[in-house]
Amino acid sequence: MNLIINNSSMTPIYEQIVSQMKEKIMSGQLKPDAMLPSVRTLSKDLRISALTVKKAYDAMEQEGYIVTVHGKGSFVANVNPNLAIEEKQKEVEKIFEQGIRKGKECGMTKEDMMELFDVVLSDF
Amino acid sequence: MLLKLEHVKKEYDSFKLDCSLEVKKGQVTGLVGSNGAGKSTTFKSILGLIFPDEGNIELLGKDISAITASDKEEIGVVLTEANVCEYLTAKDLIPIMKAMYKDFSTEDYMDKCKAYGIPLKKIIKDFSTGMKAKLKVILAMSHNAKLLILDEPTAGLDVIMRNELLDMLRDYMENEERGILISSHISTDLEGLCDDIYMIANGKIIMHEETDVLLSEYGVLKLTKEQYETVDKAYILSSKEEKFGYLCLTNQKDFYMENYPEIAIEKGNIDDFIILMEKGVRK
Amino acid sequence: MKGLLIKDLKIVASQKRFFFIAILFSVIFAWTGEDVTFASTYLVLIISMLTLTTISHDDFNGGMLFILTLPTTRKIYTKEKYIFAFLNLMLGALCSILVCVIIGTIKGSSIPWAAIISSTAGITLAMGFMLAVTIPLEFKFGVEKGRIAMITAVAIIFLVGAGGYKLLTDVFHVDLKSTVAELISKLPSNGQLVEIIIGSLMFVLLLAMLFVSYLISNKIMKKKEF
Repeated sequence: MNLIINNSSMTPIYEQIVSQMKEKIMSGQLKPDAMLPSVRTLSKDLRISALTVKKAYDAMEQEGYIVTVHGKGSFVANVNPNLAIEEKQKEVEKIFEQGIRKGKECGMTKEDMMELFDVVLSDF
Repeated sequence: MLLKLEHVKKEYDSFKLDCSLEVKKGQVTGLVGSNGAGKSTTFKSILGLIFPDEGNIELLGKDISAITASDKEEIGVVLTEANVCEYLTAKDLIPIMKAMYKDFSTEDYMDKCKAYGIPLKKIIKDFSTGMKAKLKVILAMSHNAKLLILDEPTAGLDVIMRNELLDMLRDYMENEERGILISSHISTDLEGLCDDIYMIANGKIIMHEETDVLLSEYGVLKLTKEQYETVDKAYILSSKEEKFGYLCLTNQKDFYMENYPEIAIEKGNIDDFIILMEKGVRK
Repeated sequence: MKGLLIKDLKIVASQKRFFFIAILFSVIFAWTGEDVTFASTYLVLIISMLTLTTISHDDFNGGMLFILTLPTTRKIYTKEKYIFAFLNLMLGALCSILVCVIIGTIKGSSIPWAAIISSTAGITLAMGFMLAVTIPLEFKFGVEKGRIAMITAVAIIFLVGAGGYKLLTDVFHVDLKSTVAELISKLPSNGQLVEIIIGSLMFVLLLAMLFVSYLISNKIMKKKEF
């Protein structure tokens, strides 16, 4: 499993694992039913604590990206393609939010922002 | 539960230990603290080398007073002050270990000695510090122990050897039945290995946290004197006065990042936390 | 226990050279000396000291901390030391008799059996006593201080003995020497039987000394903090 962990990033390590794994699952690099490395193995490979990996796996399981079969290991779930799209939309939403917040901070009105949005959009 | 200490107390002339901690199956638990903080006293109490004045120690589900010689086959130990019978060679140790431990694997031991550059026929007394340290860890891991109790196993090793040794410990933990209690004064060693960390100072446990939480939620705030006066101190664990103002340790760095975007906040590392907890004014 | 015995044997084996020199010297003594018994005392002395050598090696640089974290206990450790001490005494006695007999045979002179055996038995008992005093002292005070304590203890025992003798002879006018001689002369005249009785008495005395010393050491070790 090729994950790159940035130890000095402000993003918690388990979030880094989650986002990179999701990326791999969505892009099809990790196929459904593929077996993931065990918690201990991944923690060994990444030189991070096992609890961190476990936290990441738990989070992904809750979101339906992976399935853990007790005693067997964790596997990539059959991810609903809508889930993938939803996920991407969430990211876009987040970026919009950030933009709007910045806009408000420097005193832009709703109309100013709409106008700006149209300008940027027309460039594509 | 592999190990449980409940208010283990031991008083010396100028030092008082009061330590509670736990090591669970499948976990690596770290104990950090400066020299003289009480790490060795804690380890010696666990191993029955000294007798605590008060408190309970449960090792492998048994009170330590009931631990027999064969129970001790289940633990692998490295102590800073303890050294292998130094007038012998690494090869001399084989029949001794074989007679002591049912699960001792000569082959595995020889392989590891070879892999880590331990000469088999040299008198151990003439080993370098690094070689001695490695031999101690190899011996502790040579007999399929359920619990490793390692007091400063990386002491005296250079950065490369330390990493080799930590990798050995990670390999060891791939068996879920095992657990490790490890101390070190080099906290970066523990950051990438331990699942949870106890911090000890002046004989007392001053902090216990999962490593993951320490690394993702703890942080160091750098405040000017004015900022220090106004900031909400609800999540500040300890603060220390500096030339520029204050250094503060928080266990909710997100709270400050969101509410005080103007404050300088560092992720910090365990060393910073230790210094702040030990030298700062604790809440 | 087995592991500890192997460890001690390995320590002794690491002293091979020392061992050879000791045997060589004793052979030279036995060969050149008029008195073959000197060689025998020398060998018992050297070999029984090996027990103390293993204790000081165990103690070296935190070795005891290591040993006690192995699957053993303080009690087993103590017991093993006494068994090892006993084996060493027996081995020393055996070696000394062997050296004397072999050298005697080669030289072709008649073998002074009585002298060899009595001197060997005497020195073995004396060394047994020395170990019985020293081992608990070394456990209590550590090797360095233990040695000093041992020398002091032996000096005190000697002074008390000599003082007592002087007291008896000078103050109470008891002639100890003739009393003992008288006692011996009163014994049954069957020489061999007497020798066997004296021999087994010495053996029992040796075992008793070591056992009492073991009980004391056990108590010391039980309370010791490392």
